[in-house]
Amino acid sequence: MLLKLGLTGIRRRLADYLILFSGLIISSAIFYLFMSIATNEHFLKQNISISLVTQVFYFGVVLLTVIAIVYVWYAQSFLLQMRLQDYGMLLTFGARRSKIDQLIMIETFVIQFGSTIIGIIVGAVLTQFASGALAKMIDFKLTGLNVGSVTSVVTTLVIFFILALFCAITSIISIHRKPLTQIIHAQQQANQRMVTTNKLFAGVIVGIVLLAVGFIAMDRIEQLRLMAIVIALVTICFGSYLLIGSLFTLIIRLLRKTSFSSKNLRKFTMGQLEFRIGSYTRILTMVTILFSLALGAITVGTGYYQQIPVVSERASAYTMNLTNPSTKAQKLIKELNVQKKVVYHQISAGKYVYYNQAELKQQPFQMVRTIKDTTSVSAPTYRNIPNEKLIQSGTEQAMFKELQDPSVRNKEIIILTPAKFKAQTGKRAALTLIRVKDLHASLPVLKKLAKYQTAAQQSGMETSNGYNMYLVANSMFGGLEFMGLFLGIAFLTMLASCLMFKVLSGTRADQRRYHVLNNIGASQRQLDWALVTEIGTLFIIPAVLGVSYVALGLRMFTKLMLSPYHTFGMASLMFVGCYAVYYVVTVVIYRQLVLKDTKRG
Amino acid sequence: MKKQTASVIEVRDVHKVYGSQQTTSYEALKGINFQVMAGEFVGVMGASGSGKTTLLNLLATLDRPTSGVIKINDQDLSQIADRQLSEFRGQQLGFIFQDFSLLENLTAAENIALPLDLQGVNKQQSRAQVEKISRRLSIEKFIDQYPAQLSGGQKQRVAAARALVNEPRLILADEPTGALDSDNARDLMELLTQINQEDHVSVLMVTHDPFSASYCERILMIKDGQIGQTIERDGQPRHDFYQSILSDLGTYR
Ligand SMILES: Nc1ncnc2c1ncn2[C@@H]1O[C@H](COP(=O)(O)OP(=O)(O)O)[C@@H](O)[C@H]1O
Ligand SMILES: [Mg+2]
Repeated sequence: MLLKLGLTGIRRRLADYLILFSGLIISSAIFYLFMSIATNEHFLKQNISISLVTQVFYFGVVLLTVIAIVYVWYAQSFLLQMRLQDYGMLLTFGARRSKIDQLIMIETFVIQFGSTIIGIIVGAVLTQFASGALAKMIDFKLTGLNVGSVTSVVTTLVIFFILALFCAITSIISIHRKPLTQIIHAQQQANQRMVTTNKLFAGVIVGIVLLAVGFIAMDRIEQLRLMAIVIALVTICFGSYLLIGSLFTLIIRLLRKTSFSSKNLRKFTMGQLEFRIGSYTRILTMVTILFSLALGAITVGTGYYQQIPVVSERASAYTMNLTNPSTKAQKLIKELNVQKKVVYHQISAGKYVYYNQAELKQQPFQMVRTIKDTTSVSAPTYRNIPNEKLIQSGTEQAMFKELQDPSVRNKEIIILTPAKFKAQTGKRAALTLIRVKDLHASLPVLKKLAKYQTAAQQSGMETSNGYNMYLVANSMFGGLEFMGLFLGIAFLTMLASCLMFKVLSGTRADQRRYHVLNNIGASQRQLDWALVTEIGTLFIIPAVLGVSYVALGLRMFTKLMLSPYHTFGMASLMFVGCYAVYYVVTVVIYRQLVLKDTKRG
Repeated sequence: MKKQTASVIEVRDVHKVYGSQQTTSYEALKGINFQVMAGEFVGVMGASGSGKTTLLNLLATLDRPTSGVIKINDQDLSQIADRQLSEFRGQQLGFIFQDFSLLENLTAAENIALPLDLQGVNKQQSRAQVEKISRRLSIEKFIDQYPAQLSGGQKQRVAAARALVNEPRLILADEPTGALDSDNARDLMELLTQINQEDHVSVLMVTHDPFSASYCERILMIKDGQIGQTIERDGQPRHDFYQSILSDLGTYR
């Protein structure tokens, strides 16, 4: 009987429950996806070479748990708001409170557990496809990825079970505290709490102090190790919460008094925002944290992505070195977008290997110019090596020798005039050195060409050229890159669903408000504008805070990367672009829902 | 003051059909004709589902008739482009709804000022107008409170103030006393009568409550989408008119 009541409740508001359900599925799917990597030590050890990143990853998991709590709690209040009137009705018909408690328990568990189980399945599929696609994209071989790990299934289930229990209990307590009249008239409840301006100021100050502590802790990560992350996690979450809650209300409160507010629907929009600040603060804090994590992860990810070719290009002036390339290899070389290709003919006889002076003069051997700024990621520049240097022992000669075929490497280099070179007898060969313009773009061809390298090079024993260096760097940094992009994309998905969820759950009340506005003469343009600014404000706050957090937090990575800030601008732009798309989509959906019966004028 | 003779509302042979397909379409209004003169207080009564709200929505420019002509203040509504309708609504009409339709996130004063904000009236003038109407409706005391802090009667007064703040020549009210107890209903009706008489604002009020209707000068009885009968007050005392409405309702139903 009770189960039936609960289920009919679900059927009656199918659309709302679908929103709720999909939101919970996404959150548990992302959570599972995260867990399946974080709990997979084998995978982490094999793919990530820097131990600190494992910690960063744990930090992500802890944070995600906090976010899941807020998310689920938020979903629960959405559910409660939806059902409160029904409960009130049942109570007026004489249902006992204990019956209502049972009803809440059943509903909460059916919804949360159902969505968690589906979420785990979705998460497993996501892990498989998303990680596969990503790994392919960044040319990185993952080893030991375990899609259906028992540990992460159990962890996800346990955590979401605790969350469901917690939600159900708090809901029951909150209902018990409310008098019957308030339950029945739930929809008309005005849930504004008036906070004094002084308290708001205090909130802003404490918030800023907390944030400062968090960022200082992150800056000291080398000394504080994991503690830094724990401190930052707590202080930044609470600091953001306070800052958003108080600063936001304060600004609106001040603006509302100015004449700026008395035009069009500005006062309405501000009223909307101030009025619901309580529920917005939570979600905005969460979105801010998600935003900065996602942006940070993508910045670091793309940073490594950029760093790998830079490291490789710095290692050698030449991408590939081949002695006597076959016609097939020659053909492949033609396919490449080459910046420089030189051929040095050589004759080896006895203890010596001879080169043609004219050839070396015409196309001098080059080396990468060393730069002082270690954080620079600019393209390398090259210097010409004079011939004398090749015949003296030294780095220049060593560099040159390394590019030769192993069979001639131990021979002494002798440079002959063209006439003498022509007359010289011995085994003739041609050393071909290539430098490509864009390492990333050239990879597929380079990979084929690599088969014509020496055995030592092919087995990874030698890293004399840029391509081989790339292989080494990629195996070293590829794990990091993968993690960065993976975290970024996972968080971005979570972020999108959070905001969508928030927006869609507010439509019922807003629909009426916008309808009233339409009736008293607000034009479509004014209504649209009100909508665009209201949602826009909600989107801008986390974006501004998030970008600033990343700008500060990236300092943590200065030890791990050439220049974490190098890709920051690009990543921010890209991220804000994606974010803007979400904003537009949200506005469109919201508008559709809110203005559906206010089409006139 | 001289009583104006121009018509504020003119409705000629108005039909409204909901739904487009023949099977699902429903004709809610089947040829409605009537006029409301400047300064008149007219009631519309009828059973639930008879088309009262449909009619009011057409007059309120929230919907368009399927056929027929509606003129408000001598302006043919069909001649007004969709984009201009909201401006027309904001300037020429005032609305009072059964559920008050106040915005809970704005104070009473801000609610009242909203129609002025929408038209870009400057802050000083807007404040002056809000103060004036608040004094007139004796709501100054709670003007800075939020609707949630007000009683039903107070809310409806605030709603009336919002309807009147831009000095419209016509007030449209859909069951304005529907959510009020009898004392508050009486207050509101007396207020509307006062405004109607002193300021020559015309009122068209939909109601199913005979008591509220007894404040009108003329009542249009609507049945199945048509006006079946018109009851005139003809200067009767309100109480007598109330009795005659009751008896008419008896025979009419
Ligand atoms: N949007 C609509 N679509 C279809 N039918 C409607 C719509 N609005 C009202 N109706 C129908 O038109 C008739 C008149 O409705 P309404 O004007 O609301 O009546 P009243 O306000 O007198 O109770 C009713 O039968 C109602 O079902
Ligand atoms: Mg009606």
